[in-house]
Amino acid sequence: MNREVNMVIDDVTKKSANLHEIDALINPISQVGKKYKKNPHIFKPGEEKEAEQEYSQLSFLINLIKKQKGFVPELTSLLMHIESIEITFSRAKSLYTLEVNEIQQIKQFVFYLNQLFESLKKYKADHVLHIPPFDELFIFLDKDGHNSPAFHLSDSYSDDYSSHKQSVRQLIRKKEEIYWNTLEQAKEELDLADIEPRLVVSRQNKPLLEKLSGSPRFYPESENFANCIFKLRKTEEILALEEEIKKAERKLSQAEIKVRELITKVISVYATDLFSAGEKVAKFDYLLARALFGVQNQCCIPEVTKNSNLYFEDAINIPTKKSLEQSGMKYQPVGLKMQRHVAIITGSNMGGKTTILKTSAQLIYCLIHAIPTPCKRASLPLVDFIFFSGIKPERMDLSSFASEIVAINEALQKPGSGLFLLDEFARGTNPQEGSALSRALIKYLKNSSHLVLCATHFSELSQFKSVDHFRVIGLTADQYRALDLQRQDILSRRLQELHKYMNYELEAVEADSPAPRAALMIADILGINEEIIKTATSYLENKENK
Amino acid sequence: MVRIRKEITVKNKRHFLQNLFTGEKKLTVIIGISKNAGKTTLLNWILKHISSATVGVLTTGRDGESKDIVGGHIKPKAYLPQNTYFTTFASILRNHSSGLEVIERLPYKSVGKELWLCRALRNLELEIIGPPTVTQQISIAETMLAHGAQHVFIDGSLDRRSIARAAQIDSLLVAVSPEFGNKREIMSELNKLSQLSSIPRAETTIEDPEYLCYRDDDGFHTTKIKSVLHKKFSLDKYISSDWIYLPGAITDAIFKPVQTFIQAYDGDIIIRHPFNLHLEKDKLQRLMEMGKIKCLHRLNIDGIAVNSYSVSGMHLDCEELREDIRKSFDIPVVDVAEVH
Repeated sequence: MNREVNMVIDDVTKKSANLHEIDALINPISQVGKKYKKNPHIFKPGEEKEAEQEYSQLSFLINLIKKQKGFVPELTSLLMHIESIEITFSRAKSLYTLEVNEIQQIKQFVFYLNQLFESLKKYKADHVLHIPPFDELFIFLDKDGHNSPAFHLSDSYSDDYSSHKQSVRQLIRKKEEIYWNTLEQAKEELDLADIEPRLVVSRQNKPLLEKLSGSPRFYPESENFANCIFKLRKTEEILALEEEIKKAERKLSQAEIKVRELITKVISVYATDLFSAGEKVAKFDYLLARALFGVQNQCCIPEVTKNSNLYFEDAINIPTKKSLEQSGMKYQPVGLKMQRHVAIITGSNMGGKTTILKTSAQLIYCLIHAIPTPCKRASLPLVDFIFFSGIKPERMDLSSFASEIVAINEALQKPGSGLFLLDEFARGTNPQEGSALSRALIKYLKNSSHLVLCATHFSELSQFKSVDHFRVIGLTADQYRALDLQRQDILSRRLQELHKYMNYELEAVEADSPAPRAALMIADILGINEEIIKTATSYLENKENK
Repeated sequence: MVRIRKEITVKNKRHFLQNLFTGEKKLTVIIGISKNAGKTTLLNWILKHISSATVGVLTTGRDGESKDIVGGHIKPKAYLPQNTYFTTFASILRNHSSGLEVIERLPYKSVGKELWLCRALRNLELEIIGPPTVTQQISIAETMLAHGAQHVFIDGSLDRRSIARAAQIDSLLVAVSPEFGNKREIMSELNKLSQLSSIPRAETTIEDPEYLCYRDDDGFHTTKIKSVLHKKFSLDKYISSDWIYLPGAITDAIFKPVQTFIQAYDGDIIIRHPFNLHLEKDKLQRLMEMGKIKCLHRLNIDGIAVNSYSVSGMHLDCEELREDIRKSFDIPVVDVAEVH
């Protein structure tokens, strides 16, 4: 089983309620933000004020995004360069001499951090992200004043390093000059128009072979049956210079280490602040991503309530909406107003009961992550965990019924108050026992602090007192008769026709209201063999007559 | 402005170098007709003989490693003049810390290791490393150009055709060595390349080159067909179109139906790149003679570099090889080890 006692939302629930798809729409830009998103702060019951503060910042950012069109592109262009380099900060703090590429990463981090700070100040949004500017550190890392994130070990760091660097450069230049002069001299001596330091001569070209073989400037590097290869001989002066270059490079390398030690020491002073700035940017980036999600999906800022019930208006189940739109169908927003902490939902098949449960899961998922909620208005409580039943068995040694029982048992052992979404619980066993088990579970949950939404076809559950009862309005008999199914031979067209008339809204009903019976109607709409429908109808009629 | 160093006095070498920088060219790929064809030697020679230019150098995989990973023989290091942009591993750039500027860590890896974009602050000789995919190579080349490189050279790999086929590539240098085969085989391969480079550019633009499309009296049409490589696939229904664009490759297996169609067809057959014609010499010849093939991206061969040395001992007479190639092709030919 994938479910773990201490997990806020296990993978099975995430998958069943399409929470991954909501998650995929929140995209921080920076490497630090992306990393933070993998383990963000989750608001638990008792943190209502903190969640409200987070939502207040989101509300500010949402307004800013809507008013200032340049805000998001400008911040995106900066955040995309802020990398996750905590290990480099730790190395600097511990005074491990940083390599030149690590120093570049820190310079780049500081460069874009400073720009981010300036940009937020420009948009009067610097109160959302408190980061001290690292101007002094940047000036130190940008010795030559290039004002870029690129880094090189400037001569200005140390006279000793500078002089060794100059010395190596001069020696190399001198060697190259002598080398080219030697080549030019060889060209003149051999009376040739153009030669290279490495020459290939055909064995058939005897005069040239003799010329090069006799020249002290070249030596035969190798030969084969077709050609001879000659190479320019290095003069004594060049060989001596090469030795000198090696020695100078060794000294330069030592001076360079000292410079890197010096830079590391300076960075180490800022390491803790840099680390903390990285964390703040990560949180800010995640905040910005959530604000952008809110704008793109017409979300609202929900009221974070301590009440143990759900209230939302015109909620959008984003994955379902996308899927319907792809099939050319329109999504109908749904609402729910619970008075108590347990609600039973009944309704015909295809009426959207599961979608209501999933939508509730998505809204609560958004709430505990302080994500704007995709609905018109909402008042929602924080929960310690979300549990969604009605899943496929994950283990080969458990039947679907057994897997459901094991999963709910694990969820009931979790500490705190959870959101229980029961999708036709116990449908995998015989109706009598399934119904009894469901009633017992609801009774148990009614006496707990958990928030419960239960979608069911068991009519006995509608008899429960002191719980909320809702029914999907669904399809009336008149609408059923009005359906034009004769010409709809393809399933997708039949579904479109059904979707056109189906009312997915919930209506509050009294306890004891009969559960709708529309399975045969829906089976007919879905195109099952007419004879089967007729036989099923006759069975029902016979039973009722008896 | 790219200048050729004054010591290059020989006409054909100057011509070869000047030809690389004429026009609006920004991206040149060096491909070898075989492994160990002398691509790095050619690139080093070019970089040693140009001045006043900031260039970028990229490779497919590794270049300038001291020993060939497959053959084990000594390989030349990449020569990088001052200001050259290049990519390599952190472990390599750390050995040259005082001679380079680290620009940024790239979002690409090679053999699981991160790649870094750097600029040489003095002439350097080191191993350069590039990303494995064409898209990544093109993306880095564009980054180099954005940083100020005037021209980028890409040292291609064994899978040379994939990088050469990229739309952004302006020109191609072909390195030739006896590793490919004997002189007749080399000439035949060069002939094929020359034929492919003669395919003219189509005067139309295709929005999505992944799909077969065509134009007829009713206008422009895009289909859902991604390949014509099915034996049962027929082009007959497009016979009255003005032109037809064929995505993917045309291979020997489908040559016959394609040839029959072209014989009866009055319009142009457009392909993505000449390298999409994977045909035997004779079949390519017959197709070319029909004169109806056009391409979206031309194959511009800017020069041929001859290397008579063979790592596996199949050497050819350098003078004969150079002269035969020069006589046969109207493309600048250079042997960097030639004596004039």
